[in-house]
Amino acid sequence: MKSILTAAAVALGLAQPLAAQDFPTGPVTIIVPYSPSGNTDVFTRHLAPYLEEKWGQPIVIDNRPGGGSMVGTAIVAQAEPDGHTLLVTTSAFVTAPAIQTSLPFDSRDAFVPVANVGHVSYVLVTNGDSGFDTLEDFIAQSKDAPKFAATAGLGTTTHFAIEKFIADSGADVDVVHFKGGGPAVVSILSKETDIYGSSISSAGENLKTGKVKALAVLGNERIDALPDVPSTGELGFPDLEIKQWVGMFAPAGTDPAIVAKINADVNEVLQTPEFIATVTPLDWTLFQSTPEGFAQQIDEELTKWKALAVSQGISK
Amino acid sequence: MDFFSNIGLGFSVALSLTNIFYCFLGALLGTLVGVIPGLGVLAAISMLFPLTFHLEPTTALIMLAGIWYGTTYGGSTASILLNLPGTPANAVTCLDGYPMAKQGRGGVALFMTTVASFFGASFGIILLTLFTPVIAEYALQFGSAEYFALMLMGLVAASTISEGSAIKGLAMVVLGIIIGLVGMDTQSATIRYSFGILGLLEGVSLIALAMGVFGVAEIIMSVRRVKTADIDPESLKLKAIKPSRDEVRRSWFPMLRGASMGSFFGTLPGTGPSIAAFLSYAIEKRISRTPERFGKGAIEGIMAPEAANNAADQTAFIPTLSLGVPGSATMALMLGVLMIHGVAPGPNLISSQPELFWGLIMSFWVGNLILLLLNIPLIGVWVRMLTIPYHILFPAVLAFICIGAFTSGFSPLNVWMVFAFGVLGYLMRVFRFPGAPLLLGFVLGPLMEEHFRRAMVLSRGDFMTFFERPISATIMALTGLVLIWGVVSAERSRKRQLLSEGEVDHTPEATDRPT
Amino acid sequence: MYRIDYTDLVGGVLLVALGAGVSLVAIQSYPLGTLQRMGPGMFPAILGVVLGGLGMLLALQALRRTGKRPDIRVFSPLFVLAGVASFALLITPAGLIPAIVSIVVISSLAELRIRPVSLALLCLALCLMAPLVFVVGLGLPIPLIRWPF
Repeated sequence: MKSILTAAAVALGLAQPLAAQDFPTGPVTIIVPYSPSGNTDVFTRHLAPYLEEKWGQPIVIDNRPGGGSMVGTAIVAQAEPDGHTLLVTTSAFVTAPAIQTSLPFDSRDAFVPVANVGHVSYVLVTNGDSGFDTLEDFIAQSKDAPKFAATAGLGTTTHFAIEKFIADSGADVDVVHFKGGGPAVVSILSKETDIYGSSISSAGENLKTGKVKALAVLGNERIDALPDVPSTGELGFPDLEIKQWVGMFAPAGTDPAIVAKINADVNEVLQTPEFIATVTPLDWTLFQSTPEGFAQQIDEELTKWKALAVSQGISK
Repeated sequence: MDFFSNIGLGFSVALSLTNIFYCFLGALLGTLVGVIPGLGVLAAISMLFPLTFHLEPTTALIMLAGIWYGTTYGGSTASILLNLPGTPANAVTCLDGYPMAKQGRGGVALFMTTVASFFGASFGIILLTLFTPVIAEYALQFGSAEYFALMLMGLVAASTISEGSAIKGLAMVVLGIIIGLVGMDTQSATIRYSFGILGLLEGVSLIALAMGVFGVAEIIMSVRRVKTADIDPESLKLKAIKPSRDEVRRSWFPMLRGASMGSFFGTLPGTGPSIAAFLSYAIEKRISRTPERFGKGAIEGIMAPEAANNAADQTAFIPTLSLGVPGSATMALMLGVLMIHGVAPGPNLISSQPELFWGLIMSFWVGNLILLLLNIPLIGVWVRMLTIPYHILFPAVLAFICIGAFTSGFSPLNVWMVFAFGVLGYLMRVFRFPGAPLLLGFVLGPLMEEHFRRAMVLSRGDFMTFFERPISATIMALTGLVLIWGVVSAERSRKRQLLSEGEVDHTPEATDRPT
Repeated sequence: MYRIDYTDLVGGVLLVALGAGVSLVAIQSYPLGTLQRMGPGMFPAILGVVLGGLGMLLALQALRRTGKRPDIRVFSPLFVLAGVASFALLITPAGLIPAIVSIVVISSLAELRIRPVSLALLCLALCLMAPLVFVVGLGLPIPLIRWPF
């Protein structure tokens, strides 16, 4: 009797086979914890069609911005661990827990790192009509009249980067948090804030049309996408080598075979010449990673940023 | 300028076969939902929301928008034939529409309201086309202080201009904002008011709230009270729907005034079609030389509100598309469609997504034309819908509400939220608290908090920022005027009501549209 | 007709209680911050006070005027809400079809009379239509029926 019922259940599509070779058995939701049109969102939307083709299932990208990426992250932490809900987020995954102390999950235990896809540099940008053309101007002027810096949210990597810049340069700047790179760039466009550590893709067309201008690239090297913009290293700030990586995560408890399959598929897409050609102009440096290597990196970075938050006195 | 090339671009998108099909589907569903009392536009859009994951964003929006303005077309049918508004925006249409039907002029009323609807919508679309890009240009001068002031004005307007007590309206706005706080704070990631329920982390579901407060509560109050229609088929034959020359002559100016009123109130976040229809009826009655004809089948009394609510349906897209500020819960769902497809709502939308913006707007012409064609010959079919007995209808609607809530997150928690908000909605009916301000507070609350907190950072803790920045100060001054006017007129109408106690109060709750 | 407006009086008092609760939770559990750097507790604390104030105004007004009888119903909220609750309880362990049947049967009791034939037909129609629309049409992964053993 029971076997007939089981057979009927399978026929009705009720039993859920969880074997990795069958993955995915339904639509896959990728949660992006930032507003649309920011860097992470744009990257994920370039990535999704390739995975859809490999998996033969639709991918829904669900933007859940807020809390410096922690709102969307928390949603994935409690999702069903079957690989059908994934998180694509930035290094905010390791920076935010350093200053947000009341998170409802443990970053180490609640997730399985799947793949680290690559990183981008931050460019300090300002409105095209602002009264300063160089970083020195900005620092000098801020001492006369205090300025505002936008971030993509409390505890995001842009927040850390700008706080570190403020500490190293002595500029008089207050930080204002937005829900992702898109709204932060709009605040630069409307002159509500004066400076933002943006990725190339968040600033988008506005950099080309001159509505937004770049003051400096955070780090010690210039970048190919903006060869004329000086690096902060050249300008006398050697300790601002802060990049934003983007990685994919699954809820803890996901079958390691499924994690390995997703990792392999993502790595394959990252080697597709077509894909490389789309994202390179956006300043992406792509990686090939293993789940184990990424997990170790996460573990180390969580410790490192916590220490930095304490030593720099960054708080809410 | 490139204005005409934009319009051309819009039509090339709107006239693709796929988009015409989904526009037709939306308009048809909208009419259907509008005809049936108690099934709201928000419930319909919420149920169809999952479908839009698999459509192009432009197509998805075209369909949802079709449902939105289609309901207002359909809603007048039940108002006229049953004296029951199909949607709250059509509530005032009952006042003169139902007497017309009783006099055997139901066909004329249905025909003329369709014409008025088309006229009002066309008026609204033209304004939408002309002004949205202009407003979007100005929008870059909007900072957090301005956004906060704008939303505050919308909430105050919604709670005070509408029928009933201004205090109750404001209280429901505040309660809505408080419900909107549940979940993770978007600034500090602190979890608030979730009482340890993990599913509440992402906040209360808008769909569950709307379905509970409107859908379930409406059913509770209607069971055993709604009677099945008793309609004279003769008055609805094609021959009988031709208006007299006098009726046509008397319809022009009310239609024009209604469309202008509607267009204005549609643009304010928070007011929308119900209030527009209500106020335009009041104005027609006031300026008429024969106000005693109103309430007894005056054609002006159906033309003005039906033009107004349809114009408001269209102009409601102005703040949504140019500023990214949703003026109602329905508009918030439309913005949700954009977000799912990676389109950032806000001042950059028109320049970054011209096909989407112009395609959507030009599809409104297609949709309204379809509705015009759909409504006039099919009046008989819609009327037959009204003969479904309520005891069949309500369990079915209830089942669909629960399925819709469940599928919006695949969690029974959403159904429990429908339950909880059903209780709240019922209590609100008992204590006569209006529902629409609650929903609007819920939609705008989190945005308001975000902008308020950010404005305080930017002003270094000085409240005066809202009154010192010129745009913000202007909006704040307008808000003050709206508040004073609302309180004064509510007081006056209460006194008038006390004087004329005993007269049958026909005005159904004009504030109850789940928009 | 009552001598004072009891409906608004009770409604106002409820709002005061709710507002006080919201403010108390905010002040006790969430950081308030400063005016420039508002914490997560500041905005709700203010809102609770505003809600309580509005409730107080409403209650005071109610004392000065007559009121109508409130529209209280007993059986329709009972059965309609019980139907919704049964759906919420059954959908995960038992599946879509039992949940639909139970909500339709329980909520239709709100009519206070039973029409066995039309009820059975309605259940049948919905149990055919809902899977077609949601599971086949929209491809949503909802189990139709599940055996709890």
